[in-house]
Amino acid sequence: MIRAAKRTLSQAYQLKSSFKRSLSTAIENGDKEITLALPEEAFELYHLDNGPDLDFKLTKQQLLDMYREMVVIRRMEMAADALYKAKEIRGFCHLSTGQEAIAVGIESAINKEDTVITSYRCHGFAYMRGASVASIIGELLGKANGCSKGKGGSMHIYTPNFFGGNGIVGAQVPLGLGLGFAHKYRNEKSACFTLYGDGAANQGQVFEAYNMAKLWDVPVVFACENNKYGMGTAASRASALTDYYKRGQYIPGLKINGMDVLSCYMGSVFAKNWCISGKGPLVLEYETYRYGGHSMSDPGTTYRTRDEIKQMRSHHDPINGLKARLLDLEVATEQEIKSVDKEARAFVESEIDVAHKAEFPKATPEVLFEDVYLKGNEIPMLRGRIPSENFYFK
Amino acid sequence: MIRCVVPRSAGNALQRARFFGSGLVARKAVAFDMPAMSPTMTEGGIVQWQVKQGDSYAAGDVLLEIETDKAQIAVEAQDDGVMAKILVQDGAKEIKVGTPIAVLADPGDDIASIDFDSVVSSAEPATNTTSEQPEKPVQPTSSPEPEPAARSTPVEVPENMVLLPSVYRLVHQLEVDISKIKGTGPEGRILKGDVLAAAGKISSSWPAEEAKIIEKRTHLDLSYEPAPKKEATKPKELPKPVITQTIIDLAALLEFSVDQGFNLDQTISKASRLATRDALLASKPKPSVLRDRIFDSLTAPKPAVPFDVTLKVLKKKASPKALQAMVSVPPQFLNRGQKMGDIYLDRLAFYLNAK
Repeated sequence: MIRAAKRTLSQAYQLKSSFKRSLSTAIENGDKEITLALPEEAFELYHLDNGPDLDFKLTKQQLLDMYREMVVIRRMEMAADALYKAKEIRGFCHLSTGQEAIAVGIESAINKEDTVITSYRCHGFAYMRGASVASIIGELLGKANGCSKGKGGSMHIYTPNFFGGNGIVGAQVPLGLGLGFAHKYRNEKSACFTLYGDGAANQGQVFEAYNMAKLWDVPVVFACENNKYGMGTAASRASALTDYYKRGQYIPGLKINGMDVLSCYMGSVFAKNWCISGKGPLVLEYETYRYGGHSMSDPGTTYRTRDEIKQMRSHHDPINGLKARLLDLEVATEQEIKSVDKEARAFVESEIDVAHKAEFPKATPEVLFEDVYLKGNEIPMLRGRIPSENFYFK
Repeated sequence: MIRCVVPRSAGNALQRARFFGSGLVARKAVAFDMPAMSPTMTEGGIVQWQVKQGDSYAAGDVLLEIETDKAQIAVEAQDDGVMAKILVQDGAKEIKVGTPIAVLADPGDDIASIDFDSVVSSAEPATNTTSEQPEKPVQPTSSPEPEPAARSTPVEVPENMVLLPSVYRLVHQLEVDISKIKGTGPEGRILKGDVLAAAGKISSSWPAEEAKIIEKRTHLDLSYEPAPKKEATKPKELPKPVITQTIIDLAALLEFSVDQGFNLDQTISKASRLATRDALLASKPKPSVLRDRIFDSLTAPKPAVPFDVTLKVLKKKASPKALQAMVSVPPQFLNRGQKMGDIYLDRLAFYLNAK
């Protein structure tokens, strides 16, 4: 298992390095292997004989990379928050501040051939799948350099093998099943991670997807990000069973501490190995917490207390948690971590600068109607609001 | 982490980023602007600062309470920092979004060395450009006016009139001058009928008549008006039972001799019972090939009224015994009563002969 995990990890890092070299800098003694141990409470099993390994090894470079990615996502989300409050980002915007460990943990465990599809709280996943911070912030600002050329916004961010960013609650789950089915159909040793929230977990289509996945043993990981609140409703007020990892009934489940990136990593490695060994689907529950409101128009304090948020921030923050572990194990010094912090901060700032300087998409019908159809597959005409706005593909 | 994202600070980011490797440069303090706490907020007031000047705060702490036209909202710090200076004090009202209201510094910064004027002044032009920037490219290059080449006579559209798409299309199709049309729709809106009438496609009085009917039907009349009394109708008469009657000559029918020890009544009643069963069975609809007993018991209709048969045995003095059978079929079996009666009599004769 450890060997498999290491192989997956090294693959993931090799692949990722091709598009994110700019940030990842060589660290002193980066190859040094660190023995790590997770507590028993990191996982809870449902219909599983063995859970993920609790003892494993990672290199210093890998650990600091995980730390850096989380900081970058945190900084990016904070930037989006401030830009929204400065009225530069308009429309929908859902931030994942506090949930960074899941995106980083999953991406570290899989490789670029695996597929990921998420709900609209997607900025972190898009970044981990290879979208640059500039293209994500650019998308939010509606700039032409954005992932979707500035025409999608927060809910519609795509990168290769990252299928969004989906605006409909729960609708990404059947789509993820389809992605998993494609892996099986093509005989690939890959899996699809389908993420949905605790609110979406009550959608009927989720259970339809469970049924098909188990029926055909599709390599799909149903990963529920339980951040305790579906919009403004506590999970216990909306769900008859809040153990989301048991929701698969006939599908085994695994509950993971979503506030610890190493637990997320090992849990995801386990899930991926489970799927590619032909055992069919797996239901995961990442128990996490979001510090902000559901969206930008939700202050996030009307249905929970400030003390609760403060408690989570100070005791369970994924970034501080990994930092404390690195210091405890004497993997890195305070100075090293600080420099990673600064580096990540400067990186995000420079990327935001790029996004700011980018052009808005040209306001022409050609730009508006491009990409509605795959090039070469267009229908002759697309209708506008009035007949004179009709657009003819040449 | 507000300071890193406000556009003006981002402008210097690349320059600063070069120094980060050496870890020498302390970050500049940045202005904290009035945030828009909802997409529609344009201005707001400061209710109270929760952090005093010079205090440090952690991410998630409430910096201040602001008041909008809708609600009072707490603004949280996104990152750790120090409140270097409060520019706009408690109680201030109608502060435009984007106006600097405080200066924030990093933990450990020397607040005394901050040049507040430059921090704030560098903020002003940046906010102006950002507020104007998005408006430029929004202007559409294609005009929404319909192309004049598409029609021969120009259509004069009153300025304030917004036509429904279907009406708009008709106006262009029929090349009608809508300035001469009087709308019959709600608040004088021009409808398809008006356009058709103006073009002579329908009679000119039709839209007004139609409008009257619609007007009449849109107002629900709830006034009480007793319903006219209905004349008492006679209750439906139940159909009479079908009666089939026949006389069977037992002497001719029975091929055996009526001798001693033979119980005629018993024989007849037995034959009658069997004939009844046969009549019922024969008159039942044919069961499906896919017949399932359990399914049938769930879906089959309730047992019907029993098939009622009356038999009379008439004895004549001189002649041999004659049997008169009278079959009375209940009205429920009406449509097939005659058939059942016939079958019964036929089977009765058969069973009486069967010994």
